[in-house]
Amino acid sequence: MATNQTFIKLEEYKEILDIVDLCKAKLSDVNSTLNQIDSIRSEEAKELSAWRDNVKEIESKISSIDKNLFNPEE
Amino acid sequence: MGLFNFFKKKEEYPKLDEENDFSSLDLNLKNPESSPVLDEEPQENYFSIPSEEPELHEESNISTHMEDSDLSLNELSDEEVEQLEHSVEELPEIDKKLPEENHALETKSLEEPEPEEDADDLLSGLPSFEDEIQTEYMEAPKYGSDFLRKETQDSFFVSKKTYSDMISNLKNIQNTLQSQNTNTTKYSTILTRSSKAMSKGVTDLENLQNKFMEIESKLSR
Repeated sequence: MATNQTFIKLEEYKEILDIVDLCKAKLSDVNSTLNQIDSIRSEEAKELSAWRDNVKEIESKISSIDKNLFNPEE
Repeated sequence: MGLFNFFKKKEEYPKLDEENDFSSLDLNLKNPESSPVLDEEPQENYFSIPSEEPELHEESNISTHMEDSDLSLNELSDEEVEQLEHSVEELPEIDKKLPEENHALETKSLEEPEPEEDADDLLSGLPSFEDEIQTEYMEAPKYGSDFLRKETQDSFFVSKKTYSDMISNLKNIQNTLQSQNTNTTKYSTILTRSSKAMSKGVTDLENLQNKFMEIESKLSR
């Protein structure tokens, strides 16, 4: 296999390495940003879940009030 | 300046100090060699003719020397002029040697012309571009991996397969980043809408709370 290989000389090797390192740093920043977004979305999901529970509780209590007001002494 | 004027002017000169006059005389007596004696062979004092003519190798030197000699011929004595003429007569003998040497060189160049080498013959001595590449690339595989070795700080070798993979990966990364940029824009729009919906939900909850407070106040009466 090695005899059939053709090798290509790439110029500006050091600059390529610098750019690759820069891309790695940017990817690390992107990963950090995504982690922060995931954390915020998790808190948001919790808040929405609590909000939904509260709304359900309100609905049940309103239903109870409505039942008591429109069907008294039933 | 006439003699009358000389004495007339001499009377106008300030009287010199006698000691200074004697001191100057003492200096002249102590250093008799420093004072030029104009009466004894003045030409030897003013002209120094070299005993032997310098060897002349170039025509430019000869012409310069002759021009300088012409400028000073009027100031030379007869003997010196004869010496110069004799040295100038010897110059053609020196000039004869140069044409002989030139003729010998020309004859040699005509008899033995240097073989004109073809461009292919000249290039045959040099390694061809393919050989150079082959030489460079043949040294590379002994280091084994696809990323072979760093020749200098500015170059290194990769196999053609690795190179094509790298190019395809770079294109894929570029496409992925472009699509992700579009998705991020969409997600940003969704977040903006969500923020607006949350603000509306908070406003509705506040209104609902006010209504419940109103109902509570009415029921508590």
